[in-house]
This record gives sequence, structure tokens and C-alpha cells, in this order.
Amino acid sequence: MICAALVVPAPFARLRCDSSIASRRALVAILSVVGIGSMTMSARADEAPPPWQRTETRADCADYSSLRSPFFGETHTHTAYSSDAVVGGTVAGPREAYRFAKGEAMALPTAYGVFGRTTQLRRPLDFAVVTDHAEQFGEMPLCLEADSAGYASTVCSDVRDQLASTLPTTPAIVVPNAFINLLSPYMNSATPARFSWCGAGGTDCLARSSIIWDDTQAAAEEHYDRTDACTFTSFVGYEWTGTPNGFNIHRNIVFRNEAVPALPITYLEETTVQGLWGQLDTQCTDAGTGCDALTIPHNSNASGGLIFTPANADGSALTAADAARRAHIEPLVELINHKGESECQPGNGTTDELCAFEKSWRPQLFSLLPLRNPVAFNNRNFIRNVLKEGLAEEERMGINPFRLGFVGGTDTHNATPGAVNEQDWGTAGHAGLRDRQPNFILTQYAPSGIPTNPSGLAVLWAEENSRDSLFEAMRRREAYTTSGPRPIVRFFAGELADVACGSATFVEDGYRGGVPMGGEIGPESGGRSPKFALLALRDVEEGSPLQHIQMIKGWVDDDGAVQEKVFEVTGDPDNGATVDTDTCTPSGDGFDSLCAVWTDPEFDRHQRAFYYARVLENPSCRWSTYVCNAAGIDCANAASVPADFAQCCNSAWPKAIQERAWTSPVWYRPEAIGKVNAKILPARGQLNLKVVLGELPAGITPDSDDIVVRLADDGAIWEATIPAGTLDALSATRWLHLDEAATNAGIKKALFVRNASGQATLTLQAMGLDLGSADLVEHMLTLEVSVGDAWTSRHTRRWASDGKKLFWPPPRRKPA
Amino acid sequence: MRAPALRFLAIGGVIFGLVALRDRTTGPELALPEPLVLRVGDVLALRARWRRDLGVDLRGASLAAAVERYVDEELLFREARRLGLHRLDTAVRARLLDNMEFVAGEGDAAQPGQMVEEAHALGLDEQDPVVRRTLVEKMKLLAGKPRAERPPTDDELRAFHAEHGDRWMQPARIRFAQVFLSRERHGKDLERAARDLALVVAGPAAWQRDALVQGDAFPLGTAATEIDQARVRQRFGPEFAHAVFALAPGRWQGPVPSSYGLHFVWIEERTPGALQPFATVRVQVEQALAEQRTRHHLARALTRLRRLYAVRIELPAEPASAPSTAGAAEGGAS
Repeated sequence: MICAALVVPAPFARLRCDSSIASRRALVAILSVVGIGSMTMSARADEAPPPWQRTETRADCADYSSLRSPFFGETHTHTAYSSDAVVGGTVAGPREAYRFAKGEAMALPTAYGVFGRTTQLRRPLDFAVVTDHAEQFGEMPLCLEADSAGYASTVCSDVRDQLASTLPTTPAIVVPNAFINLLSPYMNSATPARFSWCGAGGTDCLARSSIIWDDTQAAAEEHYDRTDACTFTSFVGYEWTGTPNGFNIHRNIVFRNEAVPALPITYLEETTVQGLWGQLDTQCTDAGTGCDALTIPHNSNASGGLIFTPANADGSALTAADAARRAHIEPLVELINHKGESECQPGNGTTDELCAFEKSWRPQLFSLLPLRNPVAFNNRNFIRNVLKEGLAEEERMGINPFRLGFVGGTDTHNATPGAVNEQDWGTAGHAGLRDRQPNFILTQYAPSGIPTNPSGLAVLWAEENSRDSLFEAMRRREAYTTSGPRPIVRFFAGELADVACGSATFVEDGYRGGVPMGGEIGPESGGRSPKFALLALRDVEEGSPLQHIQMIKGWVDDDGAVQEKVFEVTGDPDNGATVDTDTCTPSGDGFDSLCAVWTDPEFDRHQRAFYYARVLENPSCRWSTYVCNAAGIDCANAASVPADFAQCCNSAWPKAIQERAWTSPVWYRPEAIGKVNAKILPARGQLNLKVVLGELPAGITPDSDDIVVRLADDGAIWEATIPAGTLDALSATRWLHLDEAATNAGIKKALFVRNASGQATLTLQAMGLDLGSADLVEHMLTLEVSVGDAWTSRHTRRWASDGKKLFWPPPRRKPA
Repeated sequence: MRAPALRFLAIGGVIFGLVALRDRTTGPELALPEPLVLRVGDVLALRARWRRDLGVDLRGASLAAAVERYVDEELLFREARRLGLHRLDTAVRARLLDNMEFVAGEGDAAQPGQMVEEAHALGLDEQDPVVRRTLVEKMKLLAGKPRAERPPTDDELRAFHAEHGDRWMQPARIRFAQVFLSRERHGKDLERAARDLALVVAGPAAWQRDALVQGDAFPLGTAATEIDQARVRQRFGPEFAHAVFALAPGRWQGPVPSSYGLHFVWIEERTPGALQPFATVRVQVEQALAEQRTRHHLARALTRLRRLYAVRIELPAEPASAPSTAGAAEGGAS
């Protein structure tokens, strides 16, 4: 879309073509006059349109960069609208949660209705999503209203008693009846049903539920900054809370904008994730309201393998279509939250020692005591294994169902999004009254206690801090997660011709010559390894110096078996840095920044693979160490340790941790688009494309399969379907189509050549086109090619422009 | 909103009996209340109770503040009973029935109305913590939203927006480009690299043109977005954020140190902080004004009740030491 063409339907009109662009252009002119013409590089970046359309009415953000900035937030917060949070003593609602995210202080309960603690973020968040358990939005109010049919029920009576009770002073093993009876028939059953007093079809509870859902939306609206300052973004969201037989299959649902279903689709309505996705299609994506949504699973560590089973709800094997829809609606996974880190676990498909990090050791979400035995855990509980399984599935059917990027969240039930600081956790916790004093927070008993941790943040690389921009970052997986601190991490992969740590254009070159975290690459470097460029800045204010960066690779070997390996990329894992856990004073050197351009020494162009980076800080104290030190616990003198503090001296829980960040993976697909040569000449209405398609499956040919080619930036530029049989077979390996009249999408010439190794090259020339929607500035374009149903690949890069044409690859930079 | 359960009641607009009660509050025939007097012994008893229940030993100003909060709650509770809310409210009624059934045991076939009367006679409505909290919260809702309140006019909203402009200020922003020299990359040669680059940026136009591509890799590139100090701090660290906002626009300056190395900076534009226009923050203004009105009404009601109940508090004399561990218990979360 170009600025002149603002005649689009109002809800989708992007507002980027306003006077601020004009002023930026003026600025470019001024800079040129003073003689620093290359400053136009930055201003031109601002003119580059983002690869998405605005779906809401709001101001453009002043802080806009087509090279994208890191926005820190999280996607998993509970407030008093979650029934388990209310029963746990939490009073703050969504509004208070958003205020907290923006930096305001919050009072926390020390008894029901009594607030003896306060907590506050040390740094505000850029975005947050309140994700309350939607299953009991209606039930809780009805339990408390004397004229409701449910008031006299045992479950409601228990809830009211719980809210009036005095609190135990030592950690109890027995979970209160209020919790068990309220939550069990809903979340923890494989066949959940609403309480009988909800009326026929649950109508009474659902009617009341809509009030809470409306208020959830209103709170998000009130705290969304629609001005050009873009200080804070809220999303409307909720949690779908399926825990069949105690195994966790929860999903958080995040909506792109204010268009959302009339009621949340909960586990009561849909007991399978496939059912949830189906309803999200019907009530959201396909409803014609501008609604869009994605789902983010969490705590696969307590899922019994159920979140990432490579099968449909009825047990049937996934088809390519099932896999594609899954990868589309579920592009991310919450890799860490307060109930543990789910990346990997020693003994479950890996020997990687650094996987021993914030393991909850609970086979089920609320297993009363931790169980330190890998045998108790399904290997699919751990995301690295799931990524490997995704490769195997893709090998089988051509599409990877588990293309998961990484985010993190707290799962706080205190309405305190972003409360991730290790030092603050001991006094604030995340679990209402359960975490009100150290002897509770140090117990091993579920649901809280020493196996938990303050945990994680989500970082999104986005053009600006707005809902559309952040949502698109989530969808394309340009995201990373951290265990709490805020390092800034870039990761690019691909041919990356010009990317270098000594080059100020590292980022531009990353987007020109490769893909960021979350993307896919093909055999664009022939048989050579692609390059992997990593750049990390430490968190100066709340983090420790960086120690090293690792690359984690998973691949399918020549025998079809999945493998993994951890490579050291840069930094020094043996730098000797330590922390004195008696005083929490660190010692030893680390790095303020780390940068490397890495190649895979074991790269094999025929082997499907993923790569993600793990950035590790020097050791620092775990939260429990701060709590134990503050209580003056002396483990050397066992008799002096109060029983409630015994876990301080249990060596199974580490005293020091290495905080870290995990980038979303980049996937290497042998069959994906490799080399590309492309030109768009709007003035001549001409398009030239030469695309190397990787290793096409044997059966796919232009005789039997349609070829679809799409070019798009923030809107479609050109699209063509070449029906099966259009190209004439010249030989067993060459197909040609010549059409002077260019009747199909302007295509005059199409040539398809397949070489002996199965690699194909598609060459197209099209004329007489209206290509006016292609902006003639350097910006992101996506070339998507599909052959048949089972082969598709996308190539997203920053294309260059000389003002007359758009083209890729960009010109090589002359050596400095 | 201090009680978890009431969070749900408040938003649904389902406060049972509210209208009836408002009518009651205007009734002339209510008896004058007994004065509310807390003697030193009462305060010490409260302190002991809080120490036992909450694990905090309140002293001095913290104790005084906690007593004030207790008095507020007690006033609301007593006033609710004086207005007869404990007999009108169905939540209270049902709770009392619950309790009476428990007391009476199975098989006792008394009429509900009779059982509630018995509960009142036994004083259960005064002792039950659920009844107490219910009454206090309902009184708060009642006091916070007087009957005659009309929605704010446009002019009132605009005036509130203007009066509380600081809440809707956009922070000052700068738009800058920067060239980065990495400390990790240059090590002890960092200063020399900076001197070399200083010559470039001070040189002829053609040299300046090249300056932007002569630095090291930085995750945000050299591009200039328009950002406030908090975001600069987030992305470049506190040292740089402090320094860069003091620079003048329109020329290369530096090197400016950051936690990661040295930067040469070109400020392209400075945008002073500004009040966001009313139209863009209308939703937020409405919400803020409604909250302020509720707080105001509640405070006025409490002042009135303090007079009506002739409140007198006698705090224990104590040495001005022993800092409290209570933290800031003020406010609640809503």
C-alpha cells in the first residue's frame, strides 16, 4: 500500500501516511543539506511500511522502526477474576494488574481483606495480557449472591467459609475444600460440567460470566495507550484451563484487537484444543468482525505429554492440513513461568546439564510433592523434544505442526504482571495468601513453594508498541523469552552476505540477507552452512554480566532419527564467575555484550534442522537464597534451622542460578526456498522471478500440482495460480509455458526445471501488471510459493529499492 | 475493594437492596448512635490481635494508621446495622440461616424467618466475619455512589482532564541516530577507536556521511526512532539515557559512554513533553473521575460518621523508637 492509496475500508486503513511522515521526509532533506546524506538511512527506515495492516483505530507510534525494537512484557497474568485467585485472597482486578504493569505499587494481602505487604515493579512493562481462568467467570459471583440458586450449595458455602477463615500459620498439606470442590469438577475433570445450579445449559452462570468478560475488555481498553506515545499495550485475553485428570493442557488466548467473541470459549464448552480452535475460527477469525486470535500453551512440563501429542483429539494422525492450522494458530509456547521451565530436562531425551534449571519436578500441575525422577515425565513435556518431534512429523507429511517460538510469563495469581525479580519474590510471591510469609513460600508442597520461581518475560521484536505490531511479532515468532532479566538479543540466520559484528548495519543486513528468530531458511547457501548471527547486550540494571551464548541444534539424521546437540558459540563458559551465596555478592568477569557470526560445522543440506540460541548470564542468587539469608538460616548448624525453613538446607534446590534468555528457533528446511532473484518494476508493470525450490518431494510436478506464487508486503502485491498441466513437459525434467497474451496474472513465460537431486527452479516473467501497491522504498516483502497441497515455503526479506524498482538480493556492500 | 468476594459483586451492579437502603438513609426516625470510643486498653488489645493474626507488631505512626483504618471499618459496620442493612440484606440473611442450621442441627423444622430472628437475638450478625465484611463492603459501595449522582458532563470531564494534566502527560522524546563502538570488541583500543571516529564526524561532509556505517554491530541498528527517556534507558542503559537527553540537536556529539561502549550521537529532533488531548484519553478520564468521585464520597461519609459517632481514640504513649515492620498497609488494591 502506498500513501496515496488511502481509500481502503475504514477499519483497515493504516494511518502511517500522516503528516509525521512528511516531517520525517523534511528531516531527511535537512540532513542531506548539511551533508550527511547517509542519515537518510534511518529516516528511510521509518518510511518503510510494516508487513502488516492496522486493524484498529489508533495513532501511529512515534517510536516506530521498521528494523524493530524489543518490547518487554508478558502474556500470563491472573487477577481476582480467576476463581482460584479469589479463594487465595487476591483482590486486585485487571485494572490494578495493568496499573502494576505500568509501574504503580500494589498492596498484597496478609489475611483475607487485609493488606500488609506492598510490591512494585522495578521497571515497568511495555505490554501485558490479563489471562484469567474463564471457566468460572459466572460461578464466583453467583456463589456470593444470596438470592442465587447456587448460594446454598456446599461448594459456595466452602468458598465463603474460606474467605472468612483465619489462616494457618504453618504450611498445610491438605488443600482447602474450597479449592478442591470449586476447581475439580471444572478444570481437573476429563468430562467437566457446570454446577447444577448454573441452570439448564449453564445459562445463569454464562449470563453472569458476560459481565466479567465485558469488564475484562473494558479494563484492557482503559489501559491501552492509543496515542502516539505508545507507552503501554494491553491485550484482551483469557485462559482456557483444561486439566484432564490433573494433566495440564492449558492455553492462553490472546486477541489481536478489541474484536472478540461474545463469551470466552472455555474448557466447559470445548474439552479439546481442537474444539477450542474450531470455535475460535467460528466465533473469531471467520466471524467477519476483524477478530484474530492465537493460543499459547504453557506448562507442558506438567502435561503428561498431552499438550504436544502429534495426533488429533480423536486419536487420528495429523494430516498436513491439521499441522498447518496448528502451526498457524499456535505459533508460540510459554517456555517458562512460575511453575517451572519446560525447555528440557536431563534424563528426558537430553544429557544437556544446563537443562537443570528451574525444574518444577511435578508430573501433574498440582502434584503435592516434587518427584525428582525423569521416568515420571513424558519426554513430550519438554519443548526441545517437541521441536525434534515436529521435524520428524514434517519429514513424514511435509508440514511441521510444532513450529514453536518462545515467550515467557509469570502466571502470577496476584495481578502482578512482570513480577520476576528474584529478590522481590520472597516477600511478594505470586500466589496470594499462600505466599504471604517465608515458611509458606519455602515449603515443597503444591501449588506454590520452593519448586516454583519468579520466572519469565516475553520480549517481542516489533516495529512499534501497538496491538497489531506486537500481535504480528507473536505470529511470526520474532520473540524471545528470559528467566527474568532483560538482556537484548538479536538472532538472524541465512545467507547473511554482509552481516558482521564489526558492522554498524548488522541489523539491516540481517533482515536483508536472512530471517530473524522464528523464521525459516532453505538451502540458499548451496551445500555450505547458513550463517547464524547473534548479538546480545546484558541487562545492566537488573541482570548479571553475560557469560556465554550456545546454539542448540536439533535435526533429523540420515536414518530418520532425531538428534540434538549444544554448540558453544561465543563467550566463556569457564570464566570462573561465581556468586557467594551467603551474601549474594558476585565475583569474576563477564561480558557486557556478546556478538558472533557462527556457522554449523556439521551442516548437511539434506538434513532438516532447527537452531535456537541460549544466552547465559554469570551465576546469581536464586530467590530462595535471598529468603533464607534474610531469615539468617545457618545450615552448618542444623539444630538452629526452624522446621519451616528446612528447604533452605536441602541441597536438591540450588542456591545459585544462571539467568538466561532463549531465542525462538530458526528452522532449516531442505525443501524450502533457496536462492531467489527477483525484480518488481511498477512503472513497466513487470515482474521477474527466479526461485530455487529446495528438495521437492518426488511425486510433485507441474503436471499434477498447481503452483501458487504470492508476493506481499502489508498487502498483496501480486498473486498467481498456475493450474496443474499449464506447463508443457519438454522432457522429464523441464516444463515450459509461453503466453504472449499473458492471460493468467500477466504471466508471459514460466519455466520449471528439476535437477537430478530433486531441486527445482521456477522462473517467471509477468507483464502488464498493476504493481502500484508496492512501495518503492527498502522494506519487508514475503514471497510465498506453494506446489500442490503439501509443499509450501515463505521467503521474507528486506528488499532493496533504487526508487524505480524493488529487487532482491540487495546489492553487496563494498568492503569497508 | 478490600474483600476478594466483593470484587465480583461490585462490577455486576448487583448490590442487593441498594435502592431500598438509599431510601432508608434519608429516613428521619433513626436512633442516635452510641459514641465510638477506643481507650488505651482497646488499642492495646487490637495491637495484640494484629500481632497474633498478621504477625506484625505495630507501633507509633503505623499503629495509629491501622487504628484509623479499624475505626473506618467499625463505623461502616455500625452504621450498616443502624440503618438495618443487616436485616434487609439477603446475603446476610442467608449467612445467618447457614449458621443457625448448623447450630440447630438436623431435623429442627423452624421457619427461616424465625431462625433469622433467633440469630439476631443471639448476636450472630455481630460476630460472624462474613456478615461483618459483607456489611462493610456494601456500606462502602453505598457511600461511594450516592443516589442523586448524575454522570459527569463533557465540561466536567474536560475540566478534570485539564486539572490533572500530569496524569496524561506524554514524556519528552528525542529522535536520534547513533554510531556504536563496542567495548568488548575494541578492548583497550576503545579510546583510540573513538578518537579516530571523532575525527571522522568532525570532518568534511563526505566523511560525516560515512560515519554511520563505521561503528560496530548494535541490536537496534543506527536508526533513529523517537523515544522517551525510559525507553532509551531500557535499550541503552541508565548512563547513556541520562547523558543523551542533555545533548543539543543538529550535530554529531560524543563519544557518549554507555554500559556497552562508546557512542557518537546525532540528535535529530527533540519533542517536549505534552498533555495528551482530551479526545484521545476520554475513556481514561471518565474512569479516573468516577474513581475520584467514589473516593470523595466515601471520605465525606466517613467524616460525617466520625462526627455522628463522636469518635475518640486514645493511643498508648510509647517511646518514639521501634520502627514498625508493617509496611505500607494503606489503601487496599482498589
